[in-house]
Formats: sequence, C-alpha cells, structure tokens
Amino acid sequence: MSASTIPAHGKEMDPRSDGTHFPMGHLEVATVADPGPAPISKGFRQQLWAALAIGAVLLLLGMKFDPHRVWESVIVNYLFFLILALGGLFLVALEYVASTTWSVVFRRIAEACASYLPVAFILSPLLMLAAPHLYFWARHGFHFHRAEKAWYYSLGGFDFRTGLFLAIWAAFGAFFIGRSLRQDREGDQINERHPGGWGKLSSKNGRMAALYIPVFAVTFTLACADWLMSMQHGWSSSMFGLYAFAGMFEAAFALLVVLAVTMRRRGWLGQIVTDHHYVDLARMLHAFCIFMVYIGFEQYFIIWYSNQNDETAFFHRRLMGGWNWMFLFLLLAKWAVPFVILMNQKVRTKEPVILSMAWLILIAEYCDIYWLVMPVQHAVFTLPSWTDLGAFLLFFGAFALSVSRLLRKHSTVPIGDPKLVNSVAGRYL
Amino acid sequence: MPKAKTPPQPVVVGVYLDPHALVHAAESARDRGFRGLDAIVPYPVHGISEALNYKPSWMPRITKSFFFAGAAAGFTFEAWSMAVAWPINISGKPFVSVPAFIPVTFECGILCAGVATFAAVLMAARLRPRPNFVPIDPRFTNDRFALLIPYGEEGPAPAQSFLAGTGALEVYEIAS
Amino acid sequence: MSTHPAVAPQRPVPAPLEEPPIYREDLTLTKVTEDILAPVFAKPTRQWWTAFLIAASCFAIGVAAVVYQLIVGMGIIGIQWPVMWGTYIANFVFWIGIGHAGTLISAILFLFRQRWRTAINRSAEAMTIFAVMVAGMFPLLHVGRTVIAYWLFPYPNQRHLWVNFRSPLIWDVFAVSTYATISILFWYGGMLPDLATVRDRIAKSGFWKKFYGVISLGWKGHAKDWHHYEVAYAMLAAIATPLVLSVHSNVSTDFATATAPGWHSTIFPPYFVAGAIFSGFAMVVTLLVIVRYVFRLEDYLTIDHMEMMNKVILVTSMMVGYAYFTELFTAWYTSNVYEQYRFYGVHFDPHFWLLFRGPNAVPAYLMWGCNVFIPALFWFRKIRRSIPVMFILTLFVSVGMWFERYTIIVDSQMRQYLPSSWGSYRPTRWDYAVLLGSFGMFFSLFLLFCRFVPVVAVAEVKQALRRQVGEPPAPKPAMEEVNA
Repeated sequence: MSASTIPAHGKEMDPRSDGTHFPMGHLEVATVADPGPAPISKGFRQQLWAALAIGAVLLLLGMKFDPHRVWESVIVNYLFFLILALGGLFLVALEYVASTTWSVVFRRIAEACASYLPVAFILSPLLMLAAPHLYFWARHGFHFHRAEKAWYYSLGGFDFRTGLFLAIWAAFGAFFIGRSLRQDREGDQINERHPGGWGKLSSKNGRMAALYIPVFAVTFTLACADWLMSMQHGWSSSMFGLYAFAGMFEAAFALLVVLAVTMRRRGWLGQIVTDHHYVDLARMLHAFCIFMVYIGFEQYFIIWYSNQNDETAFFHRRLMGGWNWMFLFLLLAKWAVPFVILMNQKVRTKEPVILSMAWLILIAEYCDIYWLVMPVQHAVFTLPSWTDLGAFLLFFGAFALSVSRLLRKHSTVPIGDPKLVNSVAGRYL
Repeated sequence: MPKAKTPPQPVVVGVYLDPHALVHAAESARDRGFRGLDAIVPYPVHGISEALNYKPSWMPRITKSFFFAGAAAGFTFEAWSMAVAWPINISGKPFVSVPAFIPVTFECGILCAGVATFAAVLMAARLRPRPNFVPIDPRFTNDRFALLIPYGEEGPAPAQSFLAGTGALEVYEIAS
Repeated sequence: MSTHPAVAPQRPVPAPLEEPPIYREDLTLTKVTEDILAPVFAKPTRQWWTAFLIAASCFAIGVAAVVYQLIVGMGIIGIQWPVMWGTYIANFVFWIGIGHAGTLISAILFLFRQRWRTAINRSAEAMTIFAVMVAGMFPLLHVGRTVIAYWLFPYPNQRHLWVNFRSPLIWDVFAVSTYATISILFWYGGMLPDLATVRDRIAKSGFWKKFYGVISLGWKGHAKDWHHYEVAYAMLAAIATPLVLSVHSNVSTDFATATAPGWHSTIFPPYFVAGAIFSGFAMVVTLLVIVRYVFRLEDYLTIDHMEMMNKVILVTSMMVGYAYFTELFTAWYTSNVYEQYRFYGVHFDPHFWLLFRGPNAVPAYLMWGCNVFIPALFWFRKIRRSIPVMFILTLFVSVGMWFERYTIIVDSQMRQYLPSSWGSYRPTRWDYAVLLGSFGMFFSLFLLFCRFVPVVAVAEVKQALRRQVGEPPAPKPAMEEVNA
C-alpha cells in the first residue's frame, strides 16, 4: 500500500497525521489502492448463523408459550433492521441524486446494508403472520364504516402492499448495487455529458435514483401508515411518514458510521478513509440529529397545542404508565446528547466520540420503534422479553449475514467509480 | 484630507500577482524570522492564515455563547412575563408552557448570536464608517496581493532584498 | 477475525477528475472586478429605467391603495365573515416564502460547499431582504389599526401587560424580525469587501467616494481581518440555516395550531418550508434571467448555474407534491369528515360529477398544475437549460405558489365545522392593487440594489476562480476547521 497518496507538491503529507487539518483540493491522488474485500472470518459467519438459528428457535418457543408477545417482538425487530437497510438504500440513491463526492468512499457500506432488502422480502411473511395479532382492524368483529377503507385495511390488502413495497425496494436496491458492482469488475467510462465527470453506469444509477426517491417517499409513507400508524385506532398524523423517515435516516447514518469506523480500525478500508471523511460523517450525523428533533418536535408541538382528543391519544398512551421515561431517553439520545457533543469541532475526528454517538443513536432508534409499537399493546411500560431477544437474534443474523456477504465478496469501496479518486483525496471542498 | 490609519510602523510592501507566490513568500519570511508580518488580499487566500501563524479564530465561541445566553434570556423572560408578572389563563394552557415558548426562545438565541458575531467582526477588523478612507494601494482590493514586512532600526534593506527574491512584482516602502 | 492483507492489489482507476469549470477559463481577477462593477459605475441604461418606472408605478398604485385603506378602513378589502384572513395573509406567507431561497442559497449551499452558489448568492440575499420587508408590511396592514401595531412587541407599558407568548402570532413577530435582522447582517457583512472594492475604484473624491467609504466601513483586507471574517461568515451561515427552517415553520403554525379543518395538519411546518424554498428559487431564477440579460453578466450567471437552480426547483416541487399527497392521504385515512370535506368536498364536490364545480376549485387546480405538474417539465435537460422556457415556467410557479397560500388560507375558513358558519370570499380590486404594489415594491428595491452595489459577490467569485485553477498547498500549522 505504498503509493496510495502522492501529494502533488512533493511534500510528505499523511492525511491521517493531523486530524483538524483538511487536505483540501491541492492533494492529488494518482492511484487508489484497492483495499480488497473485507476478510470476514468463517468463524464469525458461523456465529451469525448460530444467532439466526437460536433466534428462530426462540421465536418458535415463543409462539407456543407467549403467542401474543412474540408477534410484537417480530414487528419491532423486523422494522428496525428493515429501516437500516432502507436507510442504506436511501443514502445510495441520495448520493447519486445530489451528485455528492465525499460519500463515495462509504457507498459500498451503504450498499451492503441495502443488500438485506431481498432477505427482508423473503422474511416478510413473518410480518404478514403478525398482522392479525397486532392491528385492531384485523380483529374479529371490527368493521370500518367506509367500504373502500375496509377493503384497503383488510389482511389481503395489507399483505399485498407489504409484499409489493418490499419487492419494489428490493428491485431498486438490486439495480443500484448491480451497476455499482459492474463498475468494480469492468471499470467505467466517463460520461462526457454529465457535469462532474460521472461514469456511464453511475449516470444510469443517477437516473434511476431520481425515480426511486419519489417512489420511495410515497411507498414508505404508505408502508408506515400500514405498519405503525394503523396500529392505533383513530389516530392519524400527516407528519408520520416523515417522522419515520427522519428516524430511518439518522439510524442508517449512525450504522454507516459504526461500520466505517470499525472497518477502518481493522484496516479493511485500506488508506481510503481518512480523518477528513470522519468530519463529514460527524457533520451529517449532527445535521440529521437536528432534522430529527425538528420533525419530532413539530409533530408533538402541533398535536400538543391543538389538544384534540383523537390526536393526543397517541402521545397520551406513550407518555403514561412509565413510557414517558422512554420518551425522555429518545429526546436525549436522538438529539440532545449527540447535538451538544458533536457541536464541538474538535471532537469530530475522534473515533471514540463519533462511534459512541452513533451507537447511542442506533440504540435510540430501536427504542423509538419499540416506543411506537409497544404502548399500543401495553398501557404500562414493559421491558423487552426473551421473545424480543429471539426476534432480534433472528433478524440481526439475517441482516449481518447479508452485509458481510456483500463486503466479503467485493471491494469494501466502489473501486470502479470514477468519482472515488476525488472522494479519497477530498477534492470536493 | 485627514490621513487614514496607516500601519503604525514603517513597512516594506511586496506586491504579488499570484496568491500562491504570496503564501510561499509569507511562509519563508516567517521561517527567516521576520516579525509582525501582514498581508492584504482581495479575497481570502487559502493557506495565508497558517503561513502567518494565526491562531484559530475565536468567532465560534462568541456565536455559541451568545446563542445560549440569548436563548436562556428569552426563555426566562417568557416564563417571567407569563407566569410571574401577570399570569393569565389562556385556553387552559399552563402558565409556563414549555413547548409554546420554544419558538421564541430559539429566535432570541439566534438573534443574539447573529448580532454578536457581526459586532465581533466589526471589532476584530476595527471597522467603522470612514468617509475619507485612503487605501495603501487600491489594487489590493482588486487583483494584487501584498505582503507587508515592518522594519525597525535595521532599515528597509533586508526586507526589500528578501521580497525581491520571492518573486514580488514591485517592492516599495511606506513610512508611517 | 483475520487481519488486513499485507499487500493489496493495485487496481487501475481513472485519473483524477477535473471538475467542470464553472467560469470561463480566460477570466482574470481584473476582468472580474471590471465586469461586475460595470453596472455600478455606468449610467443606468434605458432598460433599467423602463423596468424601474414600471416597478415604481406598480408600487405607487399599491401605496395609494394602502393609504386609501388606512383612511377608509378595512371594509374596502374582500375580507368578510367567516373569512377574516384574506389576501393580506396570503401575501405575507407568499413573500416570506420568497425570501427563503436567498438564505438557503447563501447559508445552506455554503455549508454544503456548493461552489456554484458564489455567483448568485448576493442577488438572492438581496431578494430575501426585500421580500421580508414586503412581507413584514402585511401583518401590520392586516391588523387594521396599523398605528398601534407596535403592541405586537413586548415592551414595558403602564398597564403592565405583556404579549401572549403562547400565541403563534407572537412567534411570528419574533421569527420575522429575527429573520430580517440576520438576513441584513449576513448580506451586508458579505458585501463589505466588495463595497471596499467599489470604494477603491472611485478615482475622484466627492460624494460617492465618501458614501462608499462610509458603507464599506473602512474594510482594508488584511489577512487577519479575512481570517476572522471567514469564520464569522461560516458561523452566520450555520445559524441562518436552522433560522430559515424555523421561520416558515412558525408561519405554518399560525394555521396548524388552530383546529380548523385543513389547517390543523402536522406536516405543515416542513411542507411550508419546502414550498417556501420552491417559490423562492423560482423567483430567483426569474430575477436572474432578467439581471443577466440587462447587465450582460452571462459569464458569471452561467447556464450551468441556472440549470442547478432548476434542479432545486424540480426537487422542491416534488417535496411540495409529496406534501399534497400526504394531506390527501391523511384526509382519506382519517375518519374526520370535516377534514375530508375540506380536501375532497371543496375541490371535487361529491354532489356534482363535474370536477370544476367546487366552491373554490380554480385556485386549487392552479396550485396543483403550477406547482406539481408544470415544474415536472424540468425533468428534461433541454428545458432546464433554456432561458425563455425557464423564465415562463418559474412565473407559473410563482402564480401557483400564491394560489397555494390563497387556497390554504381561504378554503379552510369558508368551510368550517358547521354549515351555518360557511361563507364565501372574493378579493376586491383593492386586494389586487395591494398585491400589485407588493410586487412593485419588491422589484423597485431590487432594481435599486442592482444599481448601487455589485450584484455578484466579487471576492467570492475570485476565490472560486482560484479554486478552479488549483490551490497552493497549505503550510504546516493547522487552521481551525470552519463550519457549522
């Protein structure tokens, strides 16, 4: 890995030597050394398979001994890992649409997260099986007044939409990842028509990403209405899709930080990721903390202010019976703590700091989904039970195996993307 | 016409066309041990702050501290006027309605932070209306870059010869 | 787990990419100064006078209407029970929204290091200030007794009363005045070096030299000044970014915290912000098309700049479309019949098959057509890069966004909960005169601005030009990283 960075002006300039210093546009990189695939050991993969198996066994036991609780665990954990994968896909699409350069070095990691989507599609029957146990509209004896709503909120409609949305997302994911991996294998030609010197395959992905984002906005909103909003009878909020989106984005970004820092520590990213990339990660994490609290606060605020009883029911359930502590934790962990800590410029390159903030946000996102789902079923605060452990292990195993499969078989960075060079060199400032 | 403020010490001015050359000259002047270096540039030149050994600016501290001070003051005033000075029950909301106070709290913080930052720039760069301002050289706000080296009893010669050797287009001195 | 492989294979990768140049390669610093300062030194052209006279006459009509209203009373404009918030409030929301693009371009694009912003930020910021000035007048006119509008501010008075901080209208007072202040500081602060450039180009002493000497505050351009200045600019950008989000969110809570069907919707804050950016960018494009033509600044306000702006318009148009979609979906989803009637009954009256029979259907169709469907033409690259087409499309957007505000504000008041509270609304000629006057005021101020200060940020263009050539390497001591 000798000649990975060749400063143009002949001076030795190790990008890692000085955390606060930006090697700005003047640092030219002639070649990028391919860090190669991540050497994930077989033992680790076996452990993941074991986790998956234990999770499955625990869920089966749960179905026998705690049949109601097990479906709550399934939906919480299913949605948590689905959101991480969707967030990864969204980051990929956003990179193309916004033609950002800095994030190219992290794209493979986001793609690895998104590669879980087909698995999520395969696992979606679990969600469909859970539906009759969780939704008021699926229970016996419940009827909507309006025929079209009864038709829409039927088990058939729910299953159809769940499958359709997951299939759409997985198909888009496969498209993006496929082109990106093809760039790895074959390289790419510069697309002369695209300003910024994109590759031709990148341009194809860019066009598809422009289509994906509106499609995603609509499907994700409808999916959140199905999976989460329709759990509570009589409540609705037009902000809810955006609320779930903000949480998704923040959590997916936190996962990206966790994976990037871990992989860099192990040397799996070669010398590609440097401290100035950390600054960008930390800044984006900070920005999306603010976005999250903005969306969360405005939703709370408007409902609190108008004080109409069908709307306040949502917060009433979630701020009573011990759930208020969880709400407080969400406020602190999703916004207050990372906001205050990451505000300081100097800590933005400190690995332990951004890593701990990212973990905090990930845990908070899990709690957020728990807090959205569980208070509807349990008026009094309920700790996660052993069925949650089972569901967590099952979906975690599936997710981690998907991520490691992509990273194990392909370079840990999109080595064929023409923009990678500029991204490595920080030539986007 | 009254004299505008000129540098307190006599200086030698080296004029450059290329900011790159200016930064290099400033760097080597610093390494040669010239003291009190200054530069005048038409736009912020990348690297000049490092070449002249400037410490990181203290502006962020001003902005942050005034933001928190302004926000705290705003919230305190809201709570005091709504709950202490003349409590009125309006639409059944609590006297100290924390969510309802947040918008104004935030705006007060931003207002204080912004005004304080602007005022800090005015102070740091000693800016005030100067109807009779005379620049050292009008080209320094257009297309020329200047490195200023003050001299004392040793006379202007060392600085002049140094600047001439760094690729300065012109070298001249200004007595105060 | 295994360790990192000792020797990684070297893969051929494409050579470092050159960013496409933003500005023409043969521009020099001297030429930049000359070109951009030319309108300041030249005598105003006939085009300028024509434009200014048209704008000023529109402004005069508006002033006459306002004076008449102040003398005669609020009865002359169209508001009547139950619609007590009429076009004045729609104008207020519209103009505040127009202003948002300026702050977005100057602050958010600065933080995201979008270099193309350098050519347009100055005029966009100026536009912000004038739009906020125009917007700020409407609540004062709307309160009716404009002479006591200062009651909106908390000040110690003999009755020991304070303003009600639990009211969204007071949040607006704080948000708009903070926004106006910060925008002016940001704009003026960013302009100081350029004003110094103008000052130093004036050869003969006299009034103008003194004038620019005063307003440039004796800016000298020492490295130390720039050192603080750059950080302070970044800090102002960092606080202006959440500010711009908060301002239109506060404006939206004027409606969203009420219980009126159609107003009370949690998505309002981000929806209003997206709409504001959308309409503001459209207005920026409209103005820049004129400015680059009138002042011959095609080298600086390039077609690439315009295309980037049109892309932002396209994206924000989709955000606005998403908000419309969620509003409709939530209205369908909820079991609240009032909400449903507001969205489906008002526009698509269920008792009539004919779509165009809703009591207030036309503004709603204008809103959908001009905000969602017409900007979708920007999907095509040819259209994004055609100056006449973008000019017309952005005018459509302005029309559509005004009618969006009109629809939001008026429709919900016309169809309150009880049919006994239903009513109708029609703006009078005085409403239209004041609206015309607001456009006149805005364009007059903008044209004066173009006349007296550089429309393009000279120092920033020079910096961007230098980046285009390549920066020298930074010396050793580390500089504090400058950002949010």
